[in-house]
Amino acid sequence: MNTHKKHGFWHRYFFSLDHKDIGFQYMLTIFFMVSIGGFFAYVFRMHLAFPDMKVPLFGLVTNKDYNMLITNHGLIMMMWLALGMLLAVAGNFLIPIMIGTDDMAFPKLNKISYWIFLLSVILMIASFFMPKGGLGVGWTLYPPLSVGDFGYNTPYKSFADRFFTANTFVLLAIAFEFTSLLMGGINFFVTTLNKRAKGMSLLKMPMVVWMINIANLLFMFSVGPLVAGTFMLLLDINVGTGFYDAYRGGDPLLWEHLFWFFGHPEVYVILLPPLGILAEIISVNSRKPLFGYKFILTLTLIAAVLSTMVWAHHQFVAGIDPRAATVFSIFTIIISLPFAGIILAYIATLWKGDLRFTLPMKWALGAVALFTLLGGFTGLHLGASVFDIYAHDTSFVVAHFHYTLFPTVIFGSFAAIYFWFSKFSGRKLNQTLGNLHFWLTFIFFNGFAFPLFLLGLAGQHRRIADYRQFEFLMQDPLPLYRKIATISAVILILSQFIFLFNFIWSLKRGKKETEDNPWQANTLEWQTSSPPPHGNFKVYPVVNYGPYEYNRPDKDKDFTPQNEI
Amino acid sequence: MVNSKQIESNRSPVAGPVLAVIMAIIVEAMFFGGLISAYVLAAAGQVEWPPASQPRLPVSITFTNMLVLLFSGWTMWQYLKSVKKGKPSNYLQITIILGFIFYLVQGYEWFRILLFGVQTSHSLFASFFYTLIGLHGFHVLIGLLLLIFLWRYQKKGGKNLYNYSLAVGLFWFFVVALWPILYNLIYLN
Ligand code: HEM
Ligand SMILES: [Cu+2]
Repeated sequence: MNTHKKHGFWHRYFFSLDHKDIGFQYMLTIFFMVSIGGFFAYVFRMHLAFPDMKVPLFGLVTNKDYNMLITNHGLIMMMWLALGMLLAVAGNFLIPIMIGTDDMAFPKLNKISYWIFLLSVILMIASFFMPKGGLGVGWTLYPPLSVGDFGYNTPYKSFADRFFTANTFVLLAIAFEFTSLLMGGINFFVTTLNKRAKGMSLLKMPMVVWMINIANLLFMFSVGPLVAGTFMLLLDINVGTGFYDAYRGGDPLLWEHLFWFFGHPEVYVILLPPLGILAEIISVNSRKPLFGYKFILTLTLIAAVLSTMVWAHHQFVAGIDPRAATVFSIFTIIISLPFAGIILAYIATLWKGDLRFTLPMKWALGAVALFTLLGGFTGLHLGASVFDIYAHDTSFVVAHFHYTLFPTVIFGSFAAIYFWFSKFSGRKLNQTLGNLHFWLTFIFFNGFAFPLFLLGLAGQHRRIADYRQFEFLMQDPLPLYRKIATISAVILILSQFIFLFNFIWSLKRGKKETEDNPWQANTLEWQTSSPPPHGNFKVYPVVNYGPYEYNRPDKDKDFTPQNEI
Repeated sequence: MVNSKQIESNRSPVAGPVLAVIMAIIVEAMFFGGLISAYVLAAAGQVEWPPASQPRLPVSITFTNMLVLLFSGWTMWQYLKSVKKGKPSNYLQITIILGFIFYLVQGYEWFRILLFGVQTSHSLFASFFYTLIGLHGFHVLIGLLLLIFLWRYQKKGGKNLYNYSLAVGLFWFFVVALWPILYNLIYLN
């Protein structure tokens, strides 16, 4: 039972200092953002399969609308969903309790981080309503398009004309969001280093805590140049500097370098926390120690370092020196080795395990399968510049990154939610609805994303609203593929309502979680009540065992809580 | 409640605020690293740098001013040593004064050049000049605010003085150390 006194709405959702409440605030805000991003995807996907159709709930999609929809879809999903969910939400819920402490090192800073995050969300939403409409330049914000007609050549524009534009607001939103995530990241890092329970040495920390922290460090290391780039872009738009203006000696390619110096590490920032979540779930549900804890850690660190040296593989077509292209190709292909190693370690954990196919386990296995077989594998092909020059800017790339992002961000988050829900809410999610949600998502995600590979290989462009003048794209079976992708996407989006209903309903009415440790897991969050009291533990744990000591021969039960004596 | 005090044995040797500032400095260093490499690359691509039409920058005043800033780094260091001994010295106030002198002189120059008619939109060089110098100035300002905060904290007799002064000090050292690099790149090129 909750031991602390019940606080009012404003307290819980706005002023709380408790890391669990703040995690929840982030989560709700992100659910809100995802519903917008998801709605946009529905609209432009309908438009792609049925051009000229009045899309229900939206209307006719003009070319300008289309550009705005894909841009903001990409931005919301990458910046607010993926980074927010996996750094801020996962870090807030999991780090303090899994290392056996009461809260973050700086609880007030944590609260302020959330407020800044909220501000960034407000700025982002406001950008849709600017006099000239939402931003439609692609989520990668390449200049000169993203400077638009605000640059040097139109000096008659007033400052207000330049400032109240989607360009300015989106850039500000991104800058604020990064500030928020950086403050959060510093907080997580200090918490992890300075607040661990007695006995919890660094190598006794659960893998997910490691992964979130490494992701954070990588984020902090790579984001500076992008913030600098964003700042310069803001200046180009608002005060007429010429950093990206070739006419005055600036260089539009500069942005691509600064953007992808962050952008590529970002995909690992997004990948690592889910890998950590999967490690927890797979080990608990195979009743076996995680295979090669130190091995996984070493590979992760190697991959993190390598990931800062591959960014130019996004620019193979933008015109980089072919010698440099070769080097970046080679690094890109090398970087898949550590990840292959990590996935193999997970498979070795499953090997001959006493597998329990619980719901979180299904999401976890689904994520591993899709990510490895279709996401990572196709990335290898794109890493080779010879192939990429053909596939770039086709929907092959769109399929590739959806097969990498969807399994990690979406499947990973759902795995985590189905795994930890009862711990943090004290109530259980409905299992039947959960299973339905899993299977529908699994099937229709493939139905949506797989045809995009085929379409891309056949030459379907990315980011083109009206492709009908290209006759080869109108030939069978391509229209059919587009329709399969769209209808699957619609069902996929609708299936998420099952989850939303289940989530809200279970939070209020779900079956009470009677056990502290329903999965018979070792890590510390399972050794306190569900939900945990304010301050997480009544008696602070002292750690004696590693996080994955399942089936120890000297114990009669098949698990050994970390704080067992 | 049996025992609600946490047993904290597992601390890294570095205190929380200091660690936080170290992380922040890494981010800042990467931020300036991005800007500086953009500047270096841009300069490398031009035939004449800075462009002939630009007024020359005031090298010698800025050099003197740089010495003032460097000196404030040394006074801050003296202050840290005194706090460590448990007897906080007046070097803190001296640091603040030196910082302000630097800030005012540099700010004056910045605006004076603006009045000469070198506007951001005139050339890439001017764009970089205002951005880099302006951003550094902004950081000096934050550093000064932190120093003043530290002074007030010391007057109130705060218990955690050593850790806070180390944290603020590290940030100040960063701001001080950045300047010679910028001076060298922008004024002396
Ligand atoms: C609900 C399911 C989703 C559907 C139906 C969907 C659909 C699409 C489609 C068709 C495009 C290509 C637009 C074009 O280039 O013409 C796209 C782009 C993109 N999507 Fe998604 N998506 C979904 C979920 C996600 C998620 C979960 C993420 C990230 C975590 C994501 C990230 C992106 C990004 C970054 C782009 C690139 C935007 C651009 O090129 O400007 N999407 N999406
Ligand atoms: Cu990449």
